[in-house]
Amino acid sequence: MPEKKRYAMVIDIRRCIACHACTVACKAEMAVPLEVNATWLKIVEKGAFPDTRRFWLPRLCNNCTDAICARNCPTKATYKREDGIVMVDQHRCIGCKYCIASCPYDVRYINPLKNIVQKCYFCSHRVDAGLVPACVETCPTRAMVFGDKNDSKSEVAQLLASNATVVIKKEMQTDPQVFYISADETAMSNIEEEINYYTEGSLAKFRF
Amino acid sequence: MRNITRRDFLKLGAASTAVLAIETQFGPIASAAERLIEGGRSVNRTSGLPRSFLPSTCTQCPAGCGNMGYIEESRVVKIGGNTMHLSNQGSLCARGQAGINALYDPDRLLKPMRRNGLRGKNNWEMISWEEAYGEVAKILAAAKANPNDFVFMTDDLDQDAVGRRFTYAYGSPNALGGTGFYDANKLVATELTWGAAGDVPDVSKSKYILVFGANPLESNPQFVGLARRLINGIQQNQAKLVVFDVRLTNTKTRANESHYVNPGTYALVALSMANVIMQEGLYDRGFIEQWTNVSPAQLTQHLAQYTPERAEAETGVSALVIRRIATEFANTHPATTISDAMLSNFANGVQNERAVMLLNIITGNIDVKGGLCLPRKYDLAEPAPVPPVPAPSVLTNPPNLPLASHGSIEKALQQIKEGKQRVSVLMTHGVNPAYSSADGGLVEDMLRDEKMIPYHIAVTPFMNETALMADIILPETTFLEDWEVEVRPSPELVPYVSLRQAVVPPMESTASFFDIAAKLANLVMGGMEQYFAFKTVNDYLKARIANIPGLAQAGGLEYLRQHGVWYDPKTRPNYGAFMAGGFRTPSGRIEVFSPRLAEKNFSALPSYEPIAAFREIKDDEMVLTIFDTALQTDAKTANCMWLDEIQHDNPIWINSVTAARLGILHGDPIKLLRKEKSGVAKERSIISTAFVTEGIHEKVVAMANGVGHTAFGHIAEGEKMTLDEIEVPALRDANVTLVWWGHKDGIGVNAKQIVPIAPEPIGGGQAWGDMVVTIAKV
Repeated sequence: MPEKKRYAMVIDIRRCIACHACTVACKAEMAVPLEVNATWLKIVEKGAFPDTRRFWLPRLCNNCTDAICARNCPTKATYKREDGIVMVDQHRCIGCKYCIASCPYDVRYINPLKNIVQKCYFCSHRVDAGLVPACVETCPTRAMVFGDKNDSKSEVAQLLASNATVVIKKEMQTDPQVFYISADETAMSNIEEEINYYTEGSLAKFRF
Repeated sequence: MRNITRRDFLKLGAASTAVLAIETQFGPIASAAERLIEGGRSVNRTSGLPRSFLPSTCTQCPAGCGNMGYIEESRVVKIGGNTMHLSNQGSLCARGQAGINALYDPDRLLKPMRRNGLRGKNNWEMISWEEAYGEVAKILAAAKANPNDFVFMTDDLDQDAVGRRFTYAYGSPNALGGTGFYDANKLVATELTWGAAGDVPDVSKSKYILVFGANPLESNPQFVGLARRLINGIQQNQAKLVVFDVRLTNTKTRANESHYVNPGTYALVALSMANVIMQEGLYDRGFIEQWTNVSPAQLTQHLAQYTPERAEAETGVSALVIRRIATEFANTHPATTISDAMLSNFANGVQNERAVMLLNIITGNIDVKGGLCLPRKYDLAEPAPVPPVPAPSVLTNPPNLPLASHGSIEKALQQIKEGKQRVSVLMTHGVNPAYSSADGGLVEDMLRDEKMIPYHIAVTPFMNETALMADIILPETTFLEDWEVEVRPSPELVPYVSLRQAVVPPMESTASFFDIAAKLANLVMGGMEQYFAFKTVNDYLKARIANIPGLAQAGGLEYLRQHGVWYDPKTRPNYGAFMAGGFRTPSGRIEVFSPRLAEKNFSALPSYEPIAAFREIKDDEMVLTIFDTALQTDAKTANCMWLDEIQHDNPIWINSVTAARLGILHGDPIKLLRKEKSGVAKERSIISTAFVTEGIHEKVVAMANGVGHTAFGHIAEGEKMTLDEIEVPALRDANVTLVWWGHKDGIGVNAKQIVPIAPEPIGGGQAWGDMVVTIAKV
């Protein structure tokens, strides 16, 4: 019997150019309203002139194997699919925000038009139709790769086998399924701290 | 959980209307059901059913990527990339995807309008198309006695074939384009040097890539096509990427090695490297002798003045580094350079570009695999009868700019302002000079002056700063409702032709520019109607692609409508194309020594010409760099809410040491004041907040382009709306109630408005990078 599917994403930061195409793909695909984001780009600047560099980190739900949000949801609106994708049943969600409080990664938001909790579901509707998630499809440099990590022939499995990868907040022991290659330590550790070099003064409101 | 295999997926696809197979040239996209399909498909989120789609061509930036409009109930619900397109290969950037915001902009102009009251007061009377066409045709017919006085302005003249045709058919030469950060200087420099406009760095196959001022990972005329190949080059091909810039760009941060350079001195860095390569004997003697018009001895002698030590003193890059990089570049094959308008839009821009080209030339990296390649693109036909191009005017060929073969929009505006060209009618099409041009205030004053511009027709989907100054507005379709065929230099070096097709029908009573031009030509008459005798736009498009070899056999226009793009699948990059027949210069060789420059008393060999204003710079003065980002395209995209949400402001980047010296703290409002040359009375200044960073040269301040609109609708201006304010149901999107930037966070400021009009003396393109500003706390 073949092993169960286990969907995962590998983001190769060496290929990322911080173009925000993933951010906008997510807005369009999931009808994410203004004010909130299910996928965004974190940017930090390090070092003193002239040895300065910027580091970036595309952010989205980790679809954790041990999803604290699913455990804490009082109405079972948040649940896990067999393939590992963590879902929110919009009809069961009562907007109590327990999941938002318990998510260590700050990836959930209240949809301001619908007043329910949403997040990234690895584009489960696309995956079910045999398509990669919208952010992966549009990524101009193929920095994002998605697939079944239990299928050893998949690109995701091969990338995981041949590269050192990290996850955000490993110490939380949630077993995140978004893996980063060559991510910066600072960018990974203080996930709330970031700069926006296009737009000053709007950090509190918007995660970009 | 549903489990749909690819076979099922295609079956579903076939069942829904207008779904087109896109697999012809590449074979199946996914060969096994297990593998997820990477691109070119979209499904409804609730039903999981495939969405129908039509391929088209994006115009959100100059790259012209192949896109797909996914449609549900006659509405575009998503835009993705076209997997068959050679440039973007299935992906699409933020701007391309946000095109949907432009299509459904709540402030779209949907009816013809006539001005009421003074120009610029934004007071309009809605009129019928019949009345609008009648009025415009009458005025154009009356003015046709002096056809030269008709002036047409567009965004990109190369791509606006209908506008050119209309202008020439009318009898005027004055079709003008190239506002904003257009790369006229680069095009002129490359034409003078190797007889072709522009270049294509074959970066995915390079081993060493030198970047001067360009930022291909954020902004470039080929954006996705080049960025994707550059990442492939440095990741898969292990090329070394070395970047010189004045600020920390995404390209600079991604580099293996990078250096800050004193502003305006790129040419000296490049020429001192060339000097090292000649002195050390690392050059390609055979190539120089056979394919250029100079000898190694001549070149060595000329370059001797550019010692690495002199370069260190003037550029800030150490002589040691210059020697090492020069040696690495010459010893690593293949190697190439990347440069764009950020290198050539200086007063010494053409020389900068020629100096950087020289590095490729002396190392024999010209048109080789992984080197700096000649642009490959198809020639589109001009449908018969072809309107003769009228004799040039002071606008198309401004005096004192004899070599500016790609126009000089800023200079042309100045000529009108100074009364050297009379204007009877101005038609602006999809262009916004009141925002895009240098000295924005000057253009606004001109457009306001009814003596200077007696009648202004704006053909536009949006009420931007320029349309605001019109007498009549003809509401045009957006690029997603429009038709044209487009060719651009192929980053794959295999030429292609791309179709911009209407993904949805024109909204309300908007009309495509082709329809507007054809209708007007047939009303104005006087001979111009013969050039617009097409029965439908299809006839026009078919005539445009008639000369492209192989396309007719593949299915012609019908093939393009199905696939969006065509290229000959058997064609491979023909490196060394110049070997058969030489370069398209008068001598057939690369003109390192340019007789045409010599004749006009410019330095004929690639030279460094210091910018005087930078040498005399004082303590409280800085050089202003205005840069493009991956999120906004000059005057084009600011009404796209998904882009504005990420970039709606442009704080002033300032180095932390400089800021401390001037007592400026992060977030302080600061003023940039244009340093006036004597005799200029009007003070020009802008205010924005300080963004104190470690990522910029100590004598440079930088601001992003594309924001700071004073017109262009609620989204661009950062104003919330209620749904009741939107009359047309199709444009009611609840997101307009959530616009959160603007009043609170600011919408930025248009930095270009304080830059004085300053055409580069050879290329004619605006020298944007020369601006010296005085900096002051507010």
